[in-house]
Formats: sequence, structure tokens, C-alpha cells
Amino acid sequence: MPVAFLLFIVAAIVVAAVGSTRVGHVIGVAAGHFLLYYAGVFTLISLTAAVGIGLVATDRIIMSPASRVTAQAVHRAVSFGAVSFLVIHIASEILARRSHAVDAVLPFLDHKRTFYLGLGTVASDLLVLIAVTGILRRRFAETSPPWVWRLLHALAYVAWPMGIWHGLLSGRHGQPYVDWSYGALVAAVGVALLVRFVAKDRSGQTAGQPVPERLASAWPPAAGAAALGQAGFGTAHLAISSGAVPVGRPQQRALPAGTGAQVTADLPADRGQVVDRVQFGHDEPAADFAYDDPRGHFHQDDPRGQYRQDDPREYFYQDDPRGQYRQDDPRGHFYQDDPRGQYRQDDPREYIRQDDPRARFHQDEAPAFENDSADYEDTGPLPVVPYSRYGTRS
Amino acid sequence: MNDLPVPEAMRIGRARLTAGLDRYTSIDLATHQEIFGPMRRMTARQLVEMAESVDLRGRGGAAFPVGRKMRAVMQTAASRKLRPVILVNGTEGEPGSAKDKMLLLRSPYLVLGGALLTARALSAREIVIGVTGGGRVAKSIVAAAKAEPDLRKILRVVEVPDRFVSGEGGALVNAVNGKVALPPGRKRRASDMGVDQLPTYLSNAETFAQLAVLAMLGTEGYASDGTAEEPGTVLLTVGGSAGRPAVVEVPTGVPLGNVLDICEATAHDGVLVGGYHGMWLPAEIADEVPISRAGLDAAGGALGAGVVLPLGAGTCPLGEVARIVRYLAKESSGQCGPCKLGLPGIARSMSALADGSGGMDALDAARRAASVVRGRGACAHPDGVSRFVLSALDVFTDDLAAHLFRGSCGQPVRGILPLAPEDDEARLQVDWTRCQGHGLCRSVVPELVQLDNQGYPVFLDMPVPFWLEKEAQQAVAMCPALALRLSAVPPSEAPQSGRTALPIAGPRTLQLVIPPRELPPGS
Repeated sequence: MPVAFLLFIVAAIVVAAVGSTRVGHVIGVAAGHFLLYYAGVFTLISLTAAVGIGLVATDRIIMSPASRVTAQAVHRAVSFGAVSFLVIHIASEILARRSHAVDAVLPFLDHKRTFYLGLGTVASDLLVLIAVTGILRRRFAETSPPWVWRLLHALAYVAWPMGIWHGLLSGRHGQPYVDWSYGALVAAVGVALLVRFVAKDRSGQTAGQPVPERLASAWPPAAGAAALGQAGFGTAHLAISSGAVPVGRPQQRALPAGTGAQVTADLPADRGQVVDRVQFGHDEPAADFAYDDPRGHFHQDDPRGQYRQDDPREYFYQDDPRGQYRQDDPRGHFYQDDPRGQYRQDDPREYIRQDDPRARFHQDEAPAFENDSADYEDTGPLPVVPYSRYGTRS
Repeated sequence: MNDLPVPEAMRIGRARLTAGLDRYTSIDLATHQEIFGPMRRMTARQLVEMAESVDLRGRGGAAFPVGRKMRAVMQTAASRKLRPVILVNGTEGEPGSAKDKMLLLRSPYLVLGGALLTARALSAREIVIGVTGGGRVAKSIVAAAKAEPDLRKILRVVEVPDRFVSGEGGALVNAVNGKVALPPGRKRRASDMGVDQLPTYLSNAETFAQLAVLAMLGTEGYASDGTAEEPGTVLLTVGGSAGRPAVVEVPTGVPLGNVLDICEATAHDGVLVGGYHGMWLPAEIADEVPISRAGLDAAGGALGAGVVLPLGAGTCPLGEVARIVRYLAKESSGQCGPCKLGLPGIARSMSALADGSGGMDALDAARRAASVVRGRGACAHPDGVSRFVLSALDVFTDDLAAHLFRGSCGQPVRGILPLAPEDDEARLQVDWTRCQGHGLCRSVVPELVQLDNQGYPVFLDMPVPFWLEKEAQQAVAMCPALALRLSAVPPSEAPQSGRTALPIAGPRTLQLVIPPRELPPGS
């Protein structure tokens, strides 16, 4: 990153230096004219490419996951190009005083300016919104349901046609083949969108089947998105085909008899229901045990209850062979019959283990560090330190 | 001196490195001199001869002969007419090891004394100590050095990121030189080109303590304990299921069972000796194997840096192994292809074996993947992981059979084997209600994501290693269903050790705790 920044600064200095010369000035003016003339065209071309590649990147029929990764990367790069050209386009239009700075942000302000210029402003605003939310996509994935981001990103299908409209009618008149090309591209994208939803419907719910209730809910965003989906702007997740249940508030419904529950069904069906407290288990005697102390009754007839009532530790090990040595000091008896104890006693290093390892381990050993070195500076006898244990826990 | 908990020290036989630790939490200079006497001076020749006559080996795991290493440094220093540097490796990247930290925290003058002795013998210009441990070990050393004027002049403490591979010699030299603490791609012996391109004598902290002890005891005194072939004592770090985990000093030749006993541990399912690059020993062998390099070699193990981790009973051995392999895969520095792709592959196979989703295929894949990574990296990390996995597959045959034929051994994974805490590290997480099986995440990070038969992702349950962060973020950004996210979750198992993991980073975060020039004069 710092390298790129450095390069940018160097490039800026070079441009400024060249621009200050006479030849540079001429070049600069020519470049300005060129950008004024073509930046809008480039914006529209790259925006068209971004929409097309973005749509291709969602395809699951022809594209492999690996090529979809590539397509997404290209989509991002081209979209970045579209936004860059948009900035140049707006800036050069304003610098050339062909439009006002306000036109860059607010559409349809001045009656003197054309409707088609305003369309460009709307498309540009939408594009900025799409670009910003595109950069923040990760945040959306973490914090909000997927449709929020999808809806925002699907605004591209609004911005792009508006951009085309603006591009073809706001400025100079283009060649007929340009008009035809854009028309063909809009049609192609429309078909591709249709394919996308039909293909999705195949993998999920088939068109014509009863639509799941959750999609027909009164939950306004979902309903709005569902409407968008029907119009071809939504995403597969929200796409609804024909035969949908009418969108509206669910009616109060009674639950099957005997359950004793009632639904207050004012909330949309897909967001959970408030249900009156259900008193299930009327016929079950199970409630009885809860009246008294559960522990007292529970174990009354249970053979295990007999010793549980008293102190478990006293009774518990009575008949247990293991209880015999547990009652005494575990360390003292533990190794008595243990084969491991045997081999330890015969161990060549028996001084380590002969007695009880825990208590007397090092009692008779010379405890201090022994200095056997012949040529060592003699500093008198080292302190003799009795060891009560192996180490210190601190 | 220090209220924070320190590793407990125990011993079998006479105390050498652990002398005084039964009375003192931490030994200051006066106490050190009272116990060990004043430090003596030796010539290089004397020191080398002594080290060679008792065949003293490095205690960091590789067991390189100290004498030969010292000769190499002396030769380079003489031919290039340079004064060498003494580099003390106190980094201990191994989560199960605490012996060097124990020495540096509790008996720092033993290590520093050994380093000073070596520095004087080789007329070194500087002593550098590389440590981890979140500043605590560094503080202990700095405090210790302040009291000793000779040390203060030539000592430098460098704190390096607490990672598994940053303890590798080349990585430490890189870290001290201000580079990223990763193993270098081309092997360079520290004795030729080490700290500041100077000939460097690099050894593990315990080795310097052993040198100090050797100088004090003389060769005969030093050889009075332990076996004839490998005289002296060894520091073991006993952890795992031990009821009383501790650093234990033992003369060589003592059966491992005795050490397990005083640490209130049983071998039961198996004992891991030599740390996470080491090998598993079945209980019947582990109890009787004598502690020495030769003894463990004969039993099919490796002493390594003396890490002893009894697994005990009641935990799923394969699950524990899979958990460690995931950690080791994450701890790869991601520099060498066979390691950064191979280790996640081994981890995936071992995890599949442990959770019952693998079967014979996973066993085959684990064996093959573990065999293929050997010797194919800049450092010995892939070799060590391979050794660890293959020995686990050899030793836990019963458990393996249970997992293969019944899907599980029925025991939970208790997390007996220690790991550095991972809770603040990000993992890839999926919202299953959103995931539609597009499979883009697999294309972006195949190391962490594979697809099941239905095309849905199977995630490797480990934090995203730093060398995959970019790809993981890309996978999150590219998920068409907005189902992926990257966030820190508490790991399913609680961390077993109190180590703090520092993120790996460039030279900026390398903290020069106390460079020699900035030391306060005469404090």
C-alpha cells in the first residue's frame, strides 16, 4: 500500500511538472477535451460490462465455482472502473461549466436543465450507493439478513437503464448502431435475469407450486422484496412465482381442539407466534411428583435411594473391594498389592523408591549442591538444607 | 519477589539445576552465590574439553554436541577475526514445555551464569537472550541482570512472538536481527552467520545452565549422576493429565514411571514424549523406559526437549491428536507449500477419523499425507508433525479401531494436551440457514474448506492462520449467499495453559526490552 501511495505521489509530481511546460499545457487541454467527450461513454460501457459480468458471476449452470471467483473479481475491477470514469465524467462536465455542481448530487432541481440530465444524476447517486454498500458487503453479511444487501445491490438494475437513457438522450446524438447495441444488451440482461430465477426455481421450489407461507407474509420488507422479485428485480431467495397466496395480514386461526392454546396471530407468520401458555399433560399423573419434595418421593422405592438418604460416603464403599484401601491413606496401601510396587522395590535405583515415595524420598541424601570441582574457588562449606519435599509449589 | 504463579520444580536424586528451588520461588544473586558459589572463569579450550568429555548435548531437542558447536564458532571467529555473539534460546514455542521459562523465572543466574561463562571463554562481544512469555520472563531477566555488573554490560534481551516455529534457531536469529521471526528458507549455521552476521554460539537456555553446572562440578562431579553414556541430569516438563504438573530434574537412566508417579500421573492410554514433534509411547513401555536419549530411542520414542505429556484415561486419544494437529497446521509459518497445504490436509484427515466421518479413506489419507511432508520444508516442522501423527496412529490402534468401526470411542475430548489460548483468533463461520452450497469458498481457501458429497462446505475447525487471512476475507466477501463470516469465537475446548500467544508480526513489534546502551548506569 505505501508503495502504491508513493507511486501515486511521484506520478502526480511528474504530471504537474509536465503540465507546467508549454507542450504539457497543450497536452493537458487536449486530454481535458478528450475526457469531456468520452468519460461518459466509458462510464456507460464499463457500467454495462459490470452489470453483465456481475450477472454472469451468479450463474450456477455453466460456470464452475473457480470461474465464478474469477468473474466476481473481474466484476469488482470493472465496477471500480465505472465509478472512476463516473467521477471523471462529472468533474469534467462541471469544470467545463456544462452543468452545475449541484447537478452532481441532486436531480431535477432546475427547470432549465433537461429531464435526461436528472436521470444521470439519479443513476450516479444510485451507483455511489451501490459502490459503497458493495465495499461494505462483509459488514452486511455479519449484521443484517441477506436481502438487505441484495436489495441495495439490485438497484444496479435500476441505475443501469437510467444511465443508458441518460447517455443516449442527454448529450449528443449517437450512431444508430449504438442505440441498437444498448437495446440488445438490456434485452440480453433481461433474459439472463429470467434464466437466473427460473434456474433457481428448479433447484429450490418449482414455479407453480404453492408458495411457502413465509414469503407471503405481511412483513413489509419481505413483501416489498417479493414484489420486486415478481417484477424481476429480486433475487432467487425472494423470488415468487405465480399462485402466490395473497399478500396480507394472516387471519386469526384456531389451533386444533384439545391443545388449549390460542394464537394471537397479529404478527407475521414467519416471525414467530405468541401463544397462550399451553397446559399440556392434563391426563398425566406426572404432576403429582412435583408437589412434594421430588427427591424424597423419587427415591422412596428405589433401591439406590436407600443409601443415598444417608451419607453416601459411609455406605457407598462398604461392599466395594476398592473401598478397603480407599478408607485408609490411599498412598500407604495403594501399592501394597500392586504389581507396580513390586518392580519398584527391585529397581536398580531402589534408593529412590524403597520407602514410601511420598514421605521419605530424599531424607538421607546430601541435599545441597555438591561442589566436586577440584579447581573450584573454595568458598567454604555449602549450606546444608533439609528437604521436606521435592520442590516448592509457589 | 514474584507473586505470580511460576512452574513448580521437583527433582529425583541430587539437585543440580533445581538447587534451592525447594526453598525459594525465585533465586536472587546473593542466594545464588550462597548455593552455587561465585562464577568461575574458564578458557575456551577448558570449556570445550569439559563439554566434550561429558558429551554435553544441546537441550533444545536436536541434541547437537555442545563442544563441536563451540569449536565451530571459535574457528569462524578466528578465521574472520570477529568476536562472536552468545545467543540464548529461551523462546520455548512448544506449549507443553516450561523448563526454560522455569529456569529463567526462578533461577535466572544459572542460565545467565552459563552464558557469561561461555561469553568470557569465547571473548564474545554480546549475550542475547530471546524469550517469549508476554514480558514476564524478560522482566525477570532484566531484573536479574541489573544486579550483576558484568552481565549488564553485554546483555540484550529480545522478546519474540510466541509461536511454535519462532523457537527454531534460524527464526530466532531472524527475530534478533529485526526481521520477521520465521525460519529462513536457506539454512545458515548460526556459528557462521548469526546475530548481526557475526559468528554466534546459539543454544537453548537449559544448555547454558548445564554448562554452568558442569563448570562448577567439574567433569567427574558432573558425571557422578546419570548413566555412563549420557551423564548428568535432564529437565523434563511433565504436564497433560498429571495431577501435579511440574518441571522435574532427573538423572538420566531413571525410569519414566518414577517421574510420572511423583507428578501424580498415570500413563494409561499413552505418553507423549518430546512434545508435539515427538512420539507417543504406550503405557507398558512408558512406565519402564529409562530417561535418556538412547533409552527413548530404543523404545521407539524421542527425548526431544524433555516434554512429557501423559494422556491418562477418560479422554479420546484420536480426538486429542486431531486437536493438536489442527494447532500445528495453524502454527505453520505458511512459507513452504508442502507444509502449508499438507498440514491442513493431515489435520482434516485426522479430524475426520476422530469424529467418525472418515473411515479407512481418512486413515489412508492421513498416513500418506503425513509421509509425504517429511523433509520438505525450510524447518523441521513438517517432519515433526509427521512423526507425531504416524506414532499416534501406531500407538492408538485400539482407539483407531473403535473410531473406524464404531465411529467413536465414546470418550469426550477433554483437551488434556496443552495449547496456547486461541480465543481471540478469528475463525471462518457459516450461517447454515443461508448457505446454498455455491462452493466458492472452497475455490478461494481449499486449505480451510472442502465440500461434502452434497456440495456443502466442511470447515477445518481451527483459527485462520495469519497466512490465510487474506484468502479467508476474500471467501467471506465472495460468498454469494452472504453466509460466511470471520469472527472470533471461544474455541470448543478451553485452553489448557496460561501462555499468551502474541501475533506474528514484522520487526516493529519486536520489543527490545533492554538494549545494552539504554541500561541505567550503576543501578
